[in-house]
Amino acid sequence: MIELLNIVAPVAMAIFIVGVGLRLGRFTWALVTKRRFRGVSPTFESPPPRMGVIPALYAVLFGPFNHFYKRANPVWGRGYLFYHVAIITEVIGYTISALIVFAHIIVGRPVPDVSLHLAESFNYSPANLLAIIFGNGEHLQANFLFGEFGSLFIGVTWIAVGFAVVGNLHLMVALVRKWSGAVVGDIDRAAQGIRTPGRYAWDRIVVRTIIFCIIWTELFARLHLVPGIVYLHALLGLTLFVLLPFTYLFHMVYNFLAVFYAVRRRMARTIA
Amino acid sequence: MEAEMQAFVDSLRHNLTAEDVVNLEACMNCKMCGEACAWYLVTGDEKLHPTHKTGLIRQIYRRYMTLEGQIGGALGLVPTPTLADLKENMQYFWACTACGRCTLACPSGISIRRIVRLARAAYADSGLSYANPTIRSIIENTDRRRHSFGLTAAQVLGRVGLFLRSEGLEAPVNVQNAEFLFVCPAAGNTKIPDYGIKLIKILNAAGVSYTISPYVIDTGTEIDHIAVHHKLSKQMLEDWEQEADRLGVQKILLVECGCDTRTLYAEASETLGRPFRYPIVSVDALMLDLIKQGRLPIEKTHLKVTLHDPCYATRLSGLGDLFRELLNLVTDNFIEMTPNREYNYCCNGGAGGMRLPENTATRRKISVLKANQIRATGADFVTSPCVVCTLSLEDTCQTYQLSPSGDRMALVLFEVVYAAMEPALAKLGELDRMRVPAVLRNRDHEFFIAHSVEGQMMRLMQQPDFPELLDWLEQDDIVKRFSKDHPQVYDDIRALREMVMNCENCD
Ligand code: SF4
Ligand code: SF4
Repeated sequence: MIELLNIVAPVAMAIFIVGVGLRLGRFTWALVTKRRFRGVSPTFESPPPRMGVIPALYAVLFGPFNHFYKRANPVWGRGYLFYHVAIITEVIGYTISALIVFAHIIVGRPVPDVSLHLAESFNYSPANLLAIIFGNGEHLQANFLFGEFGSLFIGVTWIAVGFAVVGNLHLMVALVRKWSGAVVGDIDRAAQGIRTPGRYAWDRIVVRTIIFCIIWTELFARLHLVPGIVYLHALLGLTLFVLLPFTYLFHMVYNFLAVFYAVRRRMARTIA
Repeated sequence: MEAEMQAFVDSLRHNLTAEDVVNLEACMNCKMCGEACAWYLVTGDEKLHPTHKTGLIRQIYRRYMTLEGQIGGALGLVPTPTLADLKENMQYFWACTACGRCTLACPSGISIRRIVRLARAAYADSGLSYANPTIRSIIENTDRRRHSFGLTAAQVLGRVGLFLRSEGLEAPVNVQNAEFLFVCPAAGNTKIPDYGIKLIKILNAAGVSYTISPYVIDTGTEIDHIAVHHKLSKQMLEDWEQEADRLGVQKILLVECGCDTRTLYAEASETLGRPFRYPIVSVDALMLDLIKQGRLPIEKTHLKVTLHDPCYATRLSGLGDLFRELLNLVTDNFIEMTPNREYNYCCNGGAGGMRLPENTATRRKISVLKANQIRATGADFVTSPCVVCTLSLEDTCQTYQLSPSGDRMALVLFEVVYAAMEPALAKLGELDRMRVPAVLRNRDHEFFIAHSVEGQMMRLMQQPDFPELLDWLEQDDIVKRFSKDHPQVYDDIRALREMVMNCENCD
C-alpha cells in the first residue's frame, strides 16, 4: 500500500493541480477580461437598505434548508447540513495539517514516521506525508502537528467524524431510496400534496460510497482496529482528489465563489 | 459548426461574466432548485426543471468553451449539443419567468435566471428566437416602432385621450422642465390604460410635476426581459435618457412594472456598461412620500386585500418593505399571503410567461399554487405593484373562480391607493384636484393646447388617418372594458367622428 501510494500520489496531485488550474483559470480569465460597470444603479432613489454580510451569509447557507429541504426533503436536508459541518471542519483540518507539514519540510525539520510509529524521522515520502495529513486525528500525528493542542484537535475532529457519519448515512439513505432531488413532503400549504420523483445518480453513489469508506477507514484508524489502514484512508482521499476536477465534487472549490456571489447579491437585494 | 450555433456560442462568450462562469461551473446537479420552481413542481415535467435549461447551456459551455471539452468532444467523450438541440429546447427557456426563485433553494445560491438570460440573449443574437412569432414581433416592433406591441404614439395617446375625455381629466404632454418624465411600459399602455387613468388622477391630485412624452411610449421591458435583445434594450434606455435631456426633466418616474423595476435597479448598468444617467424614483416611493407629506390625502380603505410580491420588484430588487409600508398606510385590512416577500411564488406571467400564447395552458395549470396562496388569505382582493402580475393574477382568479361573482379581483397597487384617496378628496370637497395636472394649472390657452392630451387629440384629428384610429378604438378590447363603467365612451367616439366629418365638409 505504501509503495502504491508513493507512485500514485504525485500523479494524482498533478492531475488535481492541472484540473483545478484549468477550471479556476477560466474564472480568473473572465475576472480579468470582463471588467465593466454592473450592479445596482447608483441613481436609483430610495433603494432598499443593504443587508449585512452575516444575515446575508446566513440566508444563503441556511435559507434553503429552512424554507425548502426541512419540509420537502428532510432526510436529504439533514444529511446536507450535518455532512457539510463535518466536511468543512475536516477539510480545514487537513489544510492546516498540510501547511504545517510543508513548513516543517521547508525548514528541514523532522516529521513522524507513521509506519514505524516514530515521533521524528526524515521520511518525506508521499505516503508518509499523506498518512500524517489524512491521519491527523491520531495521537502521533496530532501531537506532532498541534503540540499541546493535539488532544483538543482530536476532540474537535471526533465531533466532526460524528457529524460525518450521521450526515453521510442520511445522504446515503436519500440516494439509495431515490430521494435525491425529490420532493417527499409538503413544501408549504400552497404546494400541499405535491410530490416529485428523485433520481438514482450513479456518480453520486460512487462518490458517496468512497466518502463513506473514507469515514470508516478514519474511524478504524483512530480506534487502531486495523493496523496501517491510514494508508487506505489516504489512498481513498487521493482518489477524491483525482475525481474532484472532473465530477460534481468540484463544488468543494467553486461553491465558495458561488456563495460569495450569492451573498453579494443578497446584500444588494438582488437575489438572483 | 453551423453559423447559428457559432453565433450562439459567440453570444455566450461575449456576455459571460466571471459571476456567470461560477454559475455554470459550480452547479453540482443536485436538482434541489426544482423545489422552488412552480413550473416544475406542478407539472412534474423534467424539461421544465431549472436544470434542464441550465444543463443545455452548461453542455454548450463545456463542449465549445473549455479546453477539456474541446478535446473530450473531439474524442467523443463529451456530448456535443447540436443546432437541433438548441431549436428543440428553445421553448423551455421561455417556459420560465426568470423569476429567480430557484436560487433560494440552491445550496450554493447559484443564479439560474442569469443563465436563462444568457441563453435568451444567445437565441436572439443567433437569430433563432425569431422562429417564435411572439418574440419575433417584440423584436421587430421595438426595432421599428419602439413599442413592443407595435402600437403607435397616436394609438397610445388617442386611447388615453379618449378615456381622459370621458372622465373630464387632463394629463401633461411634452412639457419642458417638469420634475418627472412619466413613461408607461408597453404592457401598461396596451393592456390596462383604463386602470392606469387612476395613476394619472393620483399624480394630478398630489400636484406632482410630471410630463408624458409624445415620442417615448415604451420602456423596453419586453425587449429586456422577454427577448433579451441587448442591443435594442440599450437603445431603449438611451432613448429614455435622450428624451429626458430634451424635456429637461430632473428625474425618471418608474411606473408599477416589476420588470422595469429590475431593469432600472440592476440590469441597466449591465446593458449600458455605465450607470443610468437620471435619478430613478419608484412611483410607490413617490406615493408614500406624498402621503407622508400630506400632499396626497387618504382615508384608509377597508378593502380586505392581500399582496402579491412581484418577483422582479421584491425578490430581484428588494422593494418588498416599501410596498408593505404603502399598503399599510392606505388599507386597514391587509393580509399577508404565505409564502411572501422573496419566497413568494411567481405569478407565472412575467418575462414571457403570459405574453407567449403557447404558455397559456401550462401557466394556468401551475397557477394553482398562486390560487392556493390567495384563497388561503380569505382576502377579497389581491394587489400587486406590477401591471403584468396584476393581469396574470386576474387570469388566475378567474380560472380558479376565486371571486364568486367573477368580478375583478386583482388590482394594481396604485388602484388601492386610489381607493383610499378618492373618498378623502370627496370629504374635503376637492375631487377637482384630480382633473388638471400641476404643470397645466393656470396656464394660458395656447400653452394648454400645446401641452395637453386634449391638444394632442386635436392634432390627431387633423391627421388623414384619424378615422382609422377611431375604427381601431371602436374595435378595441380595452375600450370595450372601459365602456362597462363608462358607456358614454362610444358616444365620445361618435362625436369625434362627426367633428372630423363636419370639418371635412367645412373644407
Ligand atoms: S427562474 Fe423561476 S421559472 Fe425559471 S426555473 Fe427558476 S424558479 Fe423556475
Ligand atoms: S440546486 Fe443549485 S447546484 Fe443543485 S442543481 Fe440546482 S442550480 Fe445546480
